[in-house]
This record gives sequence, C-alpha cells and structure tokens, in this order.
Amino acid sequence: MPDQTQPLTAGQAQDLAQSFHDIAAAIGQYRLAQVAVLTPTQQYQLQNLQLQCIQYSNAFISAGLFAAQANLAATLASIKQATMQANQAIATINNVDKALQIAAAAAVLGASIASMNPSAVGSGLEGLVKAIAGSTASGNTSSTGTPTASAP
Amino acid sequence: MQRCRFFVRVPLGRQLGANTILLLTLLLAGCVELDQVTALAKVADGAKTSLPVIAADFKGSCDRQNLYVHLPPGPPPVLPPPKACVSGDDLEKLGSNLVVEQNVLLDYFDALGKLASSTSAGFQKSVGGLSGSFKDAGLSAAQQTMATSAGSLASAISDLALQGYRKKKIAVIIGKTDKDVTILANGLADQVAPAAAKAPSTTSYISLLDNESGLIDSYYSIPLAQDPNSLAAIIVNRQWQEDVNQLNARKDAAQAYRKLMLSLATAHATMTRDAKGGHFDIKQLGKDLGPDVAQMETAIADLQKDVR
Repeated sequence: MPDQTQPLTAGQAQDLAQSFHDIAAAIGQYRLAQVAVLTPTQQYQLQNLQLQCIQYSNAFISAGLFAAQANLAATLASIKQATMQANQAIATINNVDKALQIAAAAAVLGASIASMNPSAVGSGLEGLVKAIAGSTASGNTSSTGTPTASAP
Repeated sequence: MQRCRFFVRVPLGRQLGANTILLLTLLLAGCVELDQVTALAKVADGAKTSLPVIAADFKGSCDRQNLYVHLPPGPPPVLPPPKACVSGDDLEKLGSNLVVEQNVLLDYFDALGKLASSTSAGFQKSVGGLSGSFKDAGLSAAQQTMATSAGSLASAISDLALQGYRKKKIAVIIGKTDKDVTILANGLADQVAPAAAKAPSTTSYISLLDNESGLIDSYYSIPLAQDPNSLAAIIVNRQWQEDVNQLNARKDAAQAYRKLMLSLATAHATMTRDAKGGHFDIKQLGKDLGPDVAQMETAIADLQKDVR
C-alpha cells in the first residue's frame, strides 16, 4: 500500500530498530535471570518472542517507510515510550505469564509496524500499553535474581 | 615524475638564465602538486579490496544471526522457531548500493590521481547502477541524498574523461565536487558506523552487529547457566569468547571504515581549501595533506587486519 506510507528519517528508523533491539535484549536477560524457574516450553516461547523482536529490529534497520499516520512523530514517540516501559516491566516482573504477555504484545506491535497498515499500528500500541498496565496493576513485580552466567 | 627527474639532473654548474630558472621552478612546483594528489589517489585505491567485504557483511550479519537459534529439546515442535533475521534481501541490496556508491567515490579519487600523474593515461569509468528494487522499497532521506551525490560524482568522472581536463584544471574540479564528496564520504561512514556509539542517529551496520551481539549472548549464556560446571561448559565458554572476538573485530573494522571515509572527505576539503584562484597553494597542500594521507593509511591497515 504505497499510498498509505510515509518516509522515515534515518534517525526515526534507528529509534525503531533500537527500541526492538532493547526489548529483545530485555527478554534475553529475563530468560537468563529466570533460567532456574522457566520450564523448557516457557524458555522456547520467550526465545521465539526474543527472535521476533530482533527480526523487527533488523527489518527497521533497512526500512525507509512507515504506515501513514496523522502525526508520525507523535506515534513514534508513543512507541518509544511504550517499549521503554515494557523493558522496565520485563526487568522487574516476577510472574512468568505476565512477562510472556508483555513480550508477546511487543512482538505484535513489531508485526503491526512491519505490516505498513495504518490502523494496525494503533491497535498494536494499545495492546502493549494494556499488557504493561496489566502487569503493574497486579502488583506482581519484584526484582529478580542476578544472572547466573556473565558475558566473556 | 619522469619530467621532474629530467630537470633535477641538469648539471649544477651550468649557467641558467632567469627564464630557465623560472620554468624549472614552476615545473618542480607542478610536480609537488601532482605527487600529492597522486599519492592520495593511490592510498584510496589501496582500500578497494577491503571495502566491499564490509558492504557484503550487511547480509552476512543477517545470516549469522539465524545460526544463533536454539531448537527445543525433544521431538521437533509443530512450528520451528522464527528466524532472527528475514531481511537478508533488503540488507543485501543496501550493501550493494553502498558498494556502488563507495566505488564511485574511489573512482573519482582514482580519476584525479590519473589526471595528476605525469603519465596520465585515460581512466576507465565504470559506474554500476543503484538497486532500483531497493529504491522502490524506499531509500531513507540520507540514502537518497547519498545516491544523488554519487550520481553527481559519476557525472563529474564522465566530464573529466570526455572534456579532457588537464592538470591545471584539477583545482577547479575539486572545488566543484567537494560538496558531493563530503556528502558521500560522510554518508558511507554513517551507514557503516555512526558517530555516537551510545546514541547513534542513523541505522547502520553497527546496529546489525549489536543485534548479533545480543543473540550470541543469549545463545551461550542460557545453556551455560543451566549447566555451568560441566567440562562441556569450558569448551562452550571458549567458543563464546571466540564468537565475541570475531564480532569485536568486525566492529573495529567498521570503525576503521568510518575513519577512512572521513579522512577522504577531510583530504578533499584540504585540497579545496589549498586551491586558490583555480591553482593549488603548493607548499600548503604538501604540508596539509600529509596527515590526512597518513590517517588513511592507518585506517586501511586496521581495516585489513580486522575485516574477515
């Protein structure tokens, strides 16, 4: 839908790529910090979501277009803010299901941006904001254990 | 250089008239000018073998990222894990465009060097096309500006060949093309390794390597955390270290690429500055260009060491 797209600046594309890189990194850290707690299935699910977020980050590195928005700068600012909040929530959450919900919502947001569908971006963003709100409303956040392996 | 040697070998005891001395001085001065430009072109030419390796690695990083995926234990799941990178085609086109653009830039320096040389034979102009399919997919504004400058430089190279510019015209040519050289060299530097590592202002090869880095860490750290004390863990740790070392070498090569491109832009700006009234300020050029050429040589040595 070329008529429903608008160009991104290199800086905007970088911000998007960085946001999804950061979420992927947060999911990776969560997998490591909770390595003793997560079941193989949960590790597998989180790995898939981490890979999807990296996939979108890679896609935005070579992207030059975004779905048409009434105010692109405001939409991008909202995405940046929501993904930063998602990172913070994943870093402090203790409930694996909630972590999975946030990670899944982040991946859906990435898919909605990549789809170039103007209306999908809004609902993707809304889904992530709701998932974050749900995790904090339950009061089920706490600091997790330290990583059990460190980078060389 | 041949003509320089001829005049230098004039016997010192010979009586020279004022006009002859003036002519000798001008020709010697001309040789200094030509040597500097030719030397710069030769150094730039030395980078040609290393630069395409980095551009090709845009897709290379994408392919490597797909290797850092764990399959779950037990029977194969209904759906395999997603790939970490499915943008290989776009990244390959991006890399190909960078190769075309950097070759235009290096061909331009090559053309200057050949025109400046006393044995100036004709030069070949081979300007490949930018990927149209990638352009349709949407070049960023910075990439479009770079493509335009590459086109202008390619056109300048054609003009140099067709209009048979002579050495005395080099100063004029340099002045006209300096803006495009600056845009292209800085753009290439930013596409590979942007200035601020902590808050880069543009997407780049470094962004891809950062994604690769995150995948490497998860790929090794999580299984090691599950089984930290086995003998296998020692071997896996070594392999992890080796992968990190290779990744860091690629990051170093990207930074060397940036330094090289910025040095090319600075050297060209130096030549522009030292060209006054369509002629070089020869003494100043000789003094000013030395550090730029030395920095380029260092950057190329770093590139060749780290690129793989």
